[in-house]
Amino acid sequence: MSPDFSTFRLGSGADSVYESLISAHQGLSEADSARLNARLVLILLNALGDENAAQHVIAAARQNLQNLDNKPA
Amino acid sequence: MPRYAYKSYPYTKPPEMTGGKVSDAPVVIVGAGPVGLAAAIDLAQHGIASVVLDDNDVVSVGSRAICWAKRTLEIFDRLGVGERMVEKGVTWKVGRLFHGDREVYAFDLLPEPGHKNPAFINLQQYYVEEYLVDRCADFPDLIDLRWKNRVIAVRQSGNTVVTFVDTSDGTYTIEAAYLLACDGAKSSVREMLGLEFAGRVFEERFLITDVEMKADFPSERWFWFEPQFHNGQSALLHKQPDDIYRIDLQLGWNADPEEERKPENVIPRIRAIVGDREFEIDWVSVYTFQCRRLERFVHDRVIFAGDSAHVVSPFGARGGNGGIQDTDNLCWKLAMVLKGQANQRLIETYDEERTVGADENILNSTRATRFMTPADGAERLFRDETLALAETMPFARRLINSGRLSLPCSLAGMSLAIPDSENVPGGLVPGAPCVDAPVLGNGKPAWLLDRLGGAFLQMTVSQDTITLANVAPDGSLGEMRSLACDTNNTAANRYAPDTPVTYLVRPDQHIAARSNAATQQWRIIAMQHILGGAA
Ligand SMILES: Cc1cc2nc3c(=O)[nH]c(=O)nc-3n(C[C@H](O)[C@H](O)[C@H](O)COP(=O)(O)OP(=O)(O)OC[C@H]3O[C@@H](n4cnc5c(N)ncnc54)[C@H](O)[C@@H]3O)c2cc1C
Repeated sequence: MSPDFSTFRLGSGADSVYESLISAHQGLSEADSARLNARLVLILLNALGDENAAQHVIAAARQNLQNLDNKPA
Repeated sequence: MPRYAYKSYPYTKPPEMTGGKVSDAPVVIVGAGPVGLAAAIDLAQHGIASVVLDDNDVVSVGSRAICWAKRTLEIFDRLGVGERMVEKGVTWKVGRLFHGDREVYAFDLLPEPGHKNPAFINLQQYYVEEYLVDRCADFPDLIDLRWKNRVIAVRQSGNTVVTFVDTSDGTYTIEAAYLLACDGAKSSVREMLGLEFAGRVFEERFLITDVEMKADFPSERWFWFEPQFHNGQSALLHKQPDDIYRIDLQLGWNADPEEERKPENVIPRIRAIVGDREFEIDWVSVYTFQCRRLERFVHDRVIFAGDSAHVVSPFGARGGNGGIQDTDNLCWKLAMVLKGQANQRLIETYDEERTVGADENILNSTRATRFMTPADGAERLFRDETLALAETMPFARRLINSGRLSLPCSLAGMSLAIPDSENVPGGLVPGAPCVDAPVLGNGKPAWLLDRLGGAFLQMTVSQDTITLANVAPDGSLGEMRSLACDTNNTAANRYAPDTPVTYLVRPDQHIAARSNAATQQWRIIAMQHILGGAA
């Protein structure tokens, strides 16, 4: 059984979290913006605290990109 | 169906200039838009006379606001115009989101039955204003509506405001105790007082158009991100009465508003959405949206309400809806102060409660507008990836923001909301707006909110019965009346799920206090707290 990562869990705080996320990038260079994202992912993976879950989210994120790459032109 | 036929309302030479009886109305209202008109009616229902001055003589040119939220309709019901609006309007509650040509998400804004009013109606602003003008005519002794009367100066001194008014016959002045500045986003009263209107402009242009056509699009809100028919931007389609459709198209900051407004440029854009149908352009405009507000809405005896006090981008339908909540909040307070029943400080709580409401509207509108018009770089990346993830991962659909539509404002935690003194089980918290429910009055189906009236009220809800009595300023109770819950006990489930709860309800249908052991003393203390302006 793969863990469920597709259910919405942020509730009424979702818009606020999203806003903080994009605001955190404001004023950063492209490179620093990418660094921020990398740090965020590492911190979140640790917060997840579960190898199995971590493997699944990585695959889920990658999966989506593959789908886009394979899309017929 | 003929297009909306604008009629011009007649100008009459003001009595101040003909040697007739000059106005002794305690309130001057500047602006006969939805907010100024609603204020005049609300005050009249409280027995307060007003003079309404408008520099124009027709209702809103172009439909502008179309989405009127449930809470606004409840307020319009209290003002005696809600049913006419719902009857004419297009009722809807489902919103659909598309990315490209695929539907990603549909949401239901009123998933629960047992409410008189729908989640939303779409009704052109000109109808809303027309119906409000008609309703004003029901109060010939209390509402003096003056068209083509332009306010050119305002002077406050002591307990009066002197308003200088320009007409085709020359200039005159009126004195009043209060002036309500309901003169819209470009408020001249705001300018006269030299007040800052702080906020931000979104560097984006939108083509907003009303199109007349026969089509069978459902009564839903359709929003596209990156539709194929509109080159990667966003688009909105909404149905209005009279076979009119609202279409919003994002154009980008570099678009030339003059060029974009030209029919030869508008028509192909619409054609791309609606296909081969016959259509006619009813109204078209190019907007840049802003979110701004005054720091304070109350400036001694000049009080701002509606767009003069705050503006938001329209994604979320919070402009007009927010403005109507302003007057709903203000008018009973002003009336009680003018009647000597409340301390003038009560008006300060309008400032407290509605600046919070405005901030909520600005926050939500800003977020939606940012999502629609992301800045280049990380902001756009996250926006685009949210849309991409939404294809396969449902959580991301909920992050898509095409406008979080106007919801009633809760006043919980603010100074007029009286904290529970005992542990009251369940129901609505002080500050919350009353929730509607089907009830029986004399055995006949009715709606709870219709039965509340516009005065302070004590309402006790138990498993099958609701008893109501007006509460006088001194806390004494008027005549008891009772309603029965419907067979599902809807009202009891919403207000008193466990044991009976007694509520003190404000004239604007917000809960002021609640108790499960209401006494005369409880009412007296609560009324003193409120009418003293919570000082
Ligand atoms: C494209 C668009 C779409 C919108 N959609 C929605 C929506 O779906 N839902 C929603 O809730 N809101 C919406 N809004 C916002 C809504 O139109 C406004 O919030 C609403 O009109 C505000 O009402 P008002 O009475 O405060 O001001 P206004 O409607 O602007 O009225 C102000 C009045 O004051 C008069 N006036 C101005 N200066 C003077 C003066 N010096 N003397 C005398 N009279 C004066 C004007 O002539 C006018 O009649 C939309 C707005 C736009 C532009």
